[in-house]
Parts: sequence; C-alpha cells; structure tokens
Amino acid sequence: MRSMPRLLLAPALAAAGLIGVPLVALVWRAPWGELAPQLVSSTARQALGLSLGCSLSATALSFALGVPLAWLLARTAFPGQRLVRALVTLPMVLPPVVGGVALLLAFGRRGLLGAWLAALGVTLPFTTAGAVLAETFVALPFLVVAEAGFRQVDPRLEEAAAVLGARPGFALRRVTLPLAAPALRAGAALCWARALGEFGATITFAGSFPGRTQTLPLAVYLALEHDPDAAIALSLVLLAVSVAALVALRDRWLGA
Amino acid sequence: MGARRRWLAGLAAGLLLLAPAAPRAETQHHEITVFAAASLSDCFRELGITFEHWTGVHVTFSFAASSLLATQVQHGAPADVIATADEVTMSKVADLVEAPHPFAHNRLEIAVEKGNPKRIAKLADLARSDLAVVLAAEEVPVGKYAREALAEAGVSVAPRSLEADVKAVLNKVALGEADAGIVYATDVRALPAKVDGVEIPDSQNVIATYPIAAVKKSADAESARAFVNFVLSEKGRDTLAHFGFTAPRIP
Amino acid sequence: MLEAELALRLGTLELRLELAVKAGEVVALVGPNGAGKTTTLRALSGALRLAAGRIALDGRVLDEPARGVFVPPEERAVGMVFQDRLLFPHLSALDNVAFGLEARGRRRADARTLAREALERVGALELAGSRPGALSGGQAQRVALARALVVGPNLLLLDEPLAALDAGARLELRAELGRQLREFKGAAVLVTHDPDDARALATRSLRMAGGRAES
Repeated sequence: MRSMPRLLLAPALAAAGLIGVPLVALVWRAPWGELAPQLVSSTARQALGLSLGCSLSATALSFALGVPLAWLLARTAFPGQRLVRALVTLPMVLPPVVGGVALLLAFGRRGLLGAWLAALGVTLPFTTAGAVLAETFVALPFLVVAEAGFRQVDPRLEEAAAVLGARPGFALRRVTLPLAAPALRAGAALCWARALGEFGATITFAGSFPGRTQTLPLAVYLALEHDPDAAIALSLVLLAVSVAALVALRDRWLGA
Repeated sequence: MGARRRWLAGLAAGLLLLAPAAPRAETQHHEITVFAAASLSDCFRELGITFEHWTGVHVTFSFAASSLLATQVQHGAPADVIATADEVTMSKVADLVEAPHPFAHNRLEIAVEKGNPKRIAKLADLARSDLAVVLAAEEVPVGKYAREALAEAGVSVAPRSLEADVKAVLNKVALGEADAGIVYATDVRALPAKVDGVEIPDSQNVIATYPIAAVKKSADAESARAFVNFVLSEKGRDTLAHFGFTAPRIP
Repeated sequence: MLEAELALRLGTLELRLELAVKAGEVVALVGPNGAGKTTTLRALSGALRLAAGRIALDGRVLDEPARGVFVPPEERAVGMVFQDRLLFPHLSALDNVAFGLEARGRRRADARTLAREALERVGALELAGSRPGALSGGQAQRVALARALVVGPNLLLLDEPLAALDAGARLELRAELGRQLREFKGAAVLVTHDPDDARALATRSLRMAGGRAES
C-alpha cells in the first residue's frame, strides 16, 4: 500500500466525519422502541411506495431522454450546442423550489404549455405524473453529463465498425453503448438517488397529498412539524433504502 | 524574555482599558431573532422596522409554519422571541419560554382567484367537483382550523394538496393552480392584486389566537421582552389591525 | 479493380492522388509521416468524403462529388486493417471477427462458425475466446486481419500492419500477411513507411509525399 501523504489525512477524516456523524446520530438517537409502529404505518408505506415508484419512473424517463441527448452532445456538432449543454445542466445549480416554480409557469394550469394541456384534459400539477416530472427535471442532468462516457469511447472504433459493415444503429447498439455503459450506469444511479431525495420542486409543482404526491422527503418535512419520532422513522427508511441500493449497485455496476 | 513579558503586560493592560468600552459597543448593536408564524410575515416585518427605528435593536425574522418553528426551538434554535398561530403549538415550548401573551386574532377566509371566476360564495361550494381546492396540512394550525370549520359546516372537501404552510396555500391560488384555498383573512389582504377573499360567516368560522413569548434562553432577554411588549403595545395593535388582525379580547 | 482519383483537404494536408489497382495486385503506399497515406485509405474506406474526383470499385461508383454520389462505409465492400488494430475491447476475438458478418445480417451462430474458419486461416484459432487486451501485438494483428477478410471484401486496405511489433513478431506476421495477400482475390492497398515491407508484400510501390505521388 502506498504511504499516505500526512497532509491528506486530516481533511479526509473531516470529510468522512462531516457526512458520517449526522448519519450516525440519526441512527443512534432513533427511538427504536417506538419505531416499529411508525415504520409500518400507512403513511410510511404509502410514502415509501410512492417514492420508489416515482424515482424509478423519473430515472427511466431521464434515461430515455438524457442518453440520446448525451450522445448528440458528444458525437455531433450543431449550432448552439454549448448553450444546450449549459441549459440542460442548469437544474443542477438551480434551487429546487425555483425549478418547481418554473415548472408551474410552464406546465401549470395557466402555464406556457400547461394551458394547452389543460384544454386537452391533461393536468400535471397535483398529480403523481407531476411528481415524476418534477423529479425528472432535477435528475435528468445527471444522465446528460454521462456525455463524458460517450466521449471516452474512441470514435475510431465506430469508424472501424462502419467499415466492417455496421449501420449507425448497429454500431451504436453493439459498440458505443456497451463501451459507454459503466459511465451511463453510474449516471443512472446518481440520477435515481437525486430523484429519490427531491423535495423542493416536487412540493411546489406537485403539491403534497398522501398516496398521490407525498413522497418520503415531503412526509418527513411534514412529520417534523408535529411528530419528530415519525420524522426520524421515515428518515431512517429513506436512509436504509438509499444505502441498500447504492451498496448493491456499487459492487456489481459502479465498481471499476 | 523580559521584553516579551513586558509586551504581554502591555497587551493585557490595553485590553483592560478597552473592556469598559466593549459593553458600550454592544448596546449600540443589539440584535434579536424572532420566530413567527408564516401568516405574520408582512405585519411583523413592518413591526420590526418600527422597533429598530425606536430602540436601535435590529430584528431578524424566521417565518415558517408555527409547528416547524416550535420544533426548531425545542432543538435549540437561537430564537429570542416566538410567535405562533395557535396556543397549542406554543404549549409545546411552554417550558422554554416565559409566560406567553395572546396578541392578535385571525379568522379564516377562502382565498380565490382575482375576480372569483368560479363564483365561490360559501364553504359548501368547496365541495364542488370542478374546483381545485388546496388546504394546509393538518399539522399546521391553519390546516387544523380549516378542517374544524369544514366539519362544523358539514362540508366534505377533496383537496388536491396539503401544503406545508399557509403561504404555500395562498401561492397556489395566486399562481392560478388552485381555485380556492382556506387561509387567514390577513393572507388574503397580503396579495390584493392576485387574490380575492370570500368571507366565512362567524357561525362557521374558527378564530385563531396568536400568542407571543420571549424565549428563556435568549442571549438578549431585555431586548426580547422589549419586542414582546412592543407587539402588545398600542402601536403594535394598530399595525396588526392595519394588516387585518383583530385585537385580543381583554380577558 | 479499383480506380480512384482522389482530391480532398484534411487540415493542412491537400491530397491529390490517382490510383489504379487490379484484382490480385497489392499496391504499397510508401512515404514519411504526414504524406497522406492513411488519409488515402480513409478516403477509400469512406471515412472521409472527397472534395472532388471519383472512386470506383469493380465498376461501382463509391464516391463522386460532381454527381452527388456517396456510398457510406458500411455499404462498400471494403475490408480494413487499422494502424492500432482497433479491435473492440469488450468483445472476444471470435466475436470481433464475427462482428462484420453480424452487422451485415448473418445470424450469430453462422457468423461465429465463419469467424472460426477465418481465425484458423490466419493461424489464430486458439485465441478465439481471448479478449483483445490479453493479446500480444502480433496476435491482435492476426485477429484484425481475420476480421477484415471474413466479410469477403473486394478491396483490402492495410494501414501500417507491421508497425509497433517487435522484430520476431514482425517477421512472422509479414510471412503470414504475404500468404494471405497472395490468396486474396481482390485489390489491396498497403500503407507502410518501411521499404522492406513494401518489397516483401507488394507487387508495386507508390511513393508519396505532401499529399501527392512522387514520380
């Protein structure tokens, strides 16, 4: 093992501590005795089910929309490309509540597109679909930055594939995507994690209603106001689900 | 060696000379933090400006749902004064504050879009299936009161969303996403350009009582109490009335 | 039979070349780096488009800007062995060789059978299950050769096939390459900077410099 530069030890420990101590505190101070009824309460189950469903849907949607865009940004050159790239990564720096307001102004009843959708009978605010949309809005950028995954695939390999007789679609499926897969998977995992924890955009755009739009983070926020024990219980559920998923993914999918 | 000791002594003497000056400097820059229910935001901001003008004490506000504020105070948040939208929430922090005083009342009102395009006239109208109605969550005082009023009136409502605080309810109506929401009369007055109010008759209404109290562990108890007294004073009552609150009934 | 009049610009290089290669002929393009040899191959493979001129293979026009004709690489019957081999790192040697066949519509089982035969012909059958990362330079080159030949091209392009090999592997591979080129029925263009390789493998040499042929 390489000897560690002593200079790095203190900051590294501080980093681990900054993240670790609050999480340990959460687990330590949890009222384990009263936890059981909280964990199986209908609020918790509804919120968890909704969170999982919405976050997975948002990830799938982000994948379907983000990967093609990532490919276009990596492999083509079109006018305004830099603007598009900056635009699509904007939700990463935008405060989520601002994102929620923007979504309302776009897809709300009086929104830019929302007014037309309403005329067609499609409502997005206050619906589960709206929650998925809000989560996709904040999580999509994580897949678009998987553009780097496409870039690190040698374009000459795609050239070789073409000379061998592969049409662009075949080359994409059999060469580019498999080679970009590790980066795409990592992006998808981050995307899912972001969607799962999303709060501001969801509560602003989709509102909060149990079983319909009240995902775990929203349930925790509300519970905090009247029942801190319930809030801690729900937080532990969220924590457990996240840790389980990330640990499972790390070994098989995200590992080098 | 000797030089250093002399230098330290000089420094210590200098500090001692400055010490009496320090408290004087402090009285110049007092600051208190006031936690207040979301529905008090516009009114208290104005009270804060007047208070600073009169006493030189700068007031920083934190507005949120009363229940959340109470939880934060319970966990040691640095509030000097807390004002909640109901007495039940204040009782949660009873052991952390000095005796609370009711300083204002608020009544419920239905907030609707400017111009009332959906022609909402009474609580019973909120049960209409063509309306998008938004309420505050039950854990929030205004949400609890709204439910009480609806139950008393025998109206069954299917809200689209249960928001985290009263301002969120108001905003949904102001943005045009909801047709109606039950908020406080003062909230309706806060956005006259965007929102109209439909009165709820006394018989169906729930009167909210707002208590205010100084926090015991305040770093500046004197200024905290001064603010509480200011809110209870005639000037305070005038400002509250201006924003739509009603005066506390003298017990 | 390859008939080509090439005219294109790539960066600072201006390529102007006339090339005619009969079936069974191996023409070596010799010259220093930057002479335009690889560019020539890429124009013939379709990776680069001509600015002017014409490429025709066995009577079929592959690229003629004046008439707006351009056949993309995947539709030309061209096989290419690249300078860095460019084997697909995520596929086994066998699947690498089978790739071109599958791309052209063969079922996987058939493609693999033909691929095995092709690997045997270049003496690399035992490498079938290996990943490109595990192969030596010479071994990888054999696989690349099999990959190019198995699809039955009419034109074979080889870009510095013996570069980056140690002396022993070079001689071995040069012998193998010579065998394959003699058996190959179509036209072949070989790029090399080594005149000895050109002499050993080609029927004719063409010196290039600065994007043009030296007379």
